[in-house]
Amino acid sequence: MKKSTLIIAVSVVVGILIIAIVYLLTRQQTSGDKQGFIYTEKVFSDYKGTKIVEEKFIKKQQKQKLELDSLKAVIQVSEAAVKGNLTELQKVKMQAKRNEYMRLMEEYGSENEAEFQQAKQALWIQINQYIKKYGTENGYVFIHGANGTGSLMFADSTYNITEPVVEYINKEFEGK
Amino acid sequence: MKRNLYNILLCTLFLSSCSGPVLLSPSEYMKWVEDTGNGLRKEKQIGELIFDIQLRPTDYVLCKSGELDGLISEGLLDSLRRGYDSTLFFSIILKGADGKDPLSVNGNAESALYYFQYQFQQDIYLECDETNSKKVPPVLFHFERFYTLNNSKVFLVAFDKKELIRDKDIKLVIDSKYLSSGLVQFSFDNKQIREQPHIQL
Repeated sequence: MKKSTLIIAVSVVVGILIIAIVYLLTRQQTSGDKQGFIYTEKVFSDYKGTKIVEEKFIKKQQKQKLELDSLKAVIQVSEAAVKGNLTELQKVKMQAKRNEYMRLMEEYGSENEAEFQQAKQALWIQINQYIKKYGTENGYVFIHGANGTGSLMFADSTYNITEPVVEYINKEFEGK
Repeated sequence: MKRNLYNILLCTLFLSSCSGPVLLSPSEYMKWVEDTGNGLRKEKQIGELIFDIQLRPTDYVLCKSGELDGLISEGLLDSLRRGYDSTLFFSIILKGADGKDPLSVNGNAESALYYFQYQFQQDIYLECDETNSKKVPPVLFHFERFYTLNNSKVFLVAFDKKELIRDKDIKLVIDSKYLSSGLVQFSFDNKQIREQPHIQL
């Protein structure tokens, strides 16, 4: 009776050990192999956050363009009205309007550029964060970024995970 | 036999459709609301910043305010509820990753403090559903400043419920130029808000 119990106990322990070893080996093998790549430009452009920021920028630039156009129209109308016969005072006023137009154009240009760079940086921070989460949740060891600059020269298309990544990061962006 | 089964099924359906919200004790209710799995609390990390957003239903606000202490009548509870019912409350907790102070995340702590105190509220709004692009600004904003070792920064914001569309999902949007996180949004399912438990005295 005692002998049979001992045999059962030993076989159970051996069984558990075998299962544990097989599990560890297969886990190491599968997780070690799990890699994927994404087309970074596509991820960036298809990200919902990018689309919202772009829309906001377009609206803002349209508003600025309207303002500049109306100022330009005022200058042109004034110039046409006096047809070159300008007094000194009129010349000064005209020049002030032209300067104002140039100043606004430059100001908007540099403001937009700075805002665009800041927004782009923020979008990449978000995308990187969500991709990191995607990789962790799905057991990836590497997710490579292909952007055509040579960082990834070739990868089999079966490793392309751009679509699921875009889907995942857009869901994360929604904050659901 | 078949008819009995049909009747039982019908009764079950009727009873389940008639059942009101689940009733919980104040402490259980608070735990339920603060559980991220129940949809009223959302957490998101963007770079070095962690956003912890808590939707605060009326009952939760009452629990936190201490107004329930010594309250014994359900009628009085309802009148207290009505007092808060026109407003939707949220708490926004900003934390730095690895316990860092979020004021130090973007450089100058003094300018960060000024921003959080006076300008942050302009970068927060609510949106209803995807079809409605109307931005609802907060009607109340409060920056809680704690001088403790805890580096989290707590903000309480409230929105006018009349501005929101009934039975639509809502999105809390934080679109800050000051923070490096960019536009961040948190969606709250209307069904989860509607079907949440209530407190029982």
